[in-house]
Amino acid sequence: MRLSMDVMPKDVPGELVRILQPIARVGGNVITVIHRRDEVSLRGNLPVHIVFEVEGKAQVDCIVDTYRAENIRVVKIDEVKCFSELVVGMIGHIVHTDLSETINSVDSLGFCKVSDMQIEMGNVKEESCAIFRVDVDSSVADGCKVVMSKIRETGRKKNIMIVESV
Amino acid sequence: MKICIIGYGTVGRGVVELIHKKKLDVTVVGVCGRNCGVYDEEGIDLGSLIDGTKDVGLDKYPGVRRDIDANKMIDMKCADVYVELTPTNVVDGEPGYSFIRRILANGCHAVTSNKGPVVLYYNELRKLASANNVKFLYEATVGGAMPVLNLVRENLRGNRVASVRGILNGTTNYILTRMGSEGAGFSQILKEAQELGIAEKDPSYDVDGVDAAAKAVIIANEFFSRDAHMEDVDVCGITRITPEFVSLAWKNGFSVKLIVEVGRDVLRVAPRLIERNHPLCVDGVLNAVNITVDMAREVTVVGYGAGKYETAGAVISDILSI
Repeated sequence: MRLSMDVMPKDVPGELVRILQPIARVGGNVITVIHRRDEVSLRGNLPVHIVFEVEGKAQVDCIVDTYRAENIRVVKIDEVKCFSELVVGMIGHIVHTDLSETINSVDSLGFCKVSDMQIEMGNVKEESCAIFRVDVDSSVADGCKVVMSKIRETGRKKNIMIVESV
Repeated sequence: MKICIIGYGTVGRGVVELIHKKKLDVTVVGVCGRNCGVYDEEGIDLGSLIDGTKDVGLDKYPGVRRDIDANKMIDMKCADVYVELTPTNVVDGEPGYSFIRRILANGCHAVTSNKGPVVLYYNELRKLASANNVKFLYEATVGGAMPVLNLVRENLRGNRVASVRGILNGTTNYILTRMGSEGAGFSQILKEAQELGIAEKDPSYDVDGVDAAAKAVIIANEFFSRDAHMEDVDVCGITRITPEFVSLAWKNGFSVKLIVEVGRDVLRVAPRLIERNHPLCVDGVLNAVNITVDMAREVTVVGYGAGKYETAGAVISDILSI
């Protein structure tokens, strides 16, 4: 079977080899590799589009499992999105209301993960602010809605203002 | 076409000045202020009215009559179109609501820039207009000069609206833009905006999201045939937004904007992160609306949401469409 896949490795030397090795290991044949150098994300990830052939679904699952284990983000396979990224802003006493509990409340849903967080500490007694990025498994129905609902609930509980993205 | 203007404030003066300056084929037979009015069945001399009220209210104009007011002028049925331009009041909609009701019940067309009556009595006034076979138009209530209601009603005819998102308050957009570009705090920028006349002395109507919520209600009722009211809107203003947050958003490729979101099951006003290359991401006092429909897919309009001549322009567009 022939497949196309979009992955988001870090833009550092050796990453392309790391992506291609799992395909080679299952006997796959790489047809095309397109490195989208002009689309480096703010987190330094580089979109790579790969077209390859493998024997069947078992080989595909094996490749994806390897990527997961090696923390390589698979964006989509054959135009089917693997995860959606939610960007959420927060304003409030984010650190002093147990930041790790806030992150865990999202991660513990089981189908999503806080993949990035940037925080700007306020002055003494002033509120802090943060931007969270959450990867949500696209195969979960209404996954993004459930995650947002959880984040809003946490915001209400901790008096943190939630600023959703459009 | 004969028209009568009720309310001679900023927008009223703008309408009179534009009709005069552009020599529009419209005869203004009446202009009403509070408990007074100017009337001439042949058409008021607008040049003289503009000069005579340059620095004073209508009540000081030499040709003003004390025996005539808005209600009397409406009952005289002296105009084809009554243009109701009294100040917005989203608490009880008065005095605009009673004026518009009277105009429509008398079988005359009504045009307004006043959000109050449209927000509070949308369905009642629409039914009254329909029962009397007259038009009730209010384009200026949403997005000022930017065509939104008439765009869908006229140009997107046959399309089904799926959702509407937009920036519908220029004051908050100005404040958020300045916070982003200069890193100054909310209160400081608000003070400057007040000095420039961009924000009102009592800014709560804008910064708490009330003005945007009123527009959300009008959109919900107009495009989704809902029976929405102010209390149905999930509203969050911008007072808690800090320059640090705006700057952090910017570093991540986003701007912070007060976004109105309306759909069949959504009615919300809140600050949102919006990607900087998104068509809605306009700066300064500009407004923008993105309408998703079934045939044309997405349509985005950008324009000035407030201002004397901008709002007057939307009112004139409604008058001329009758």
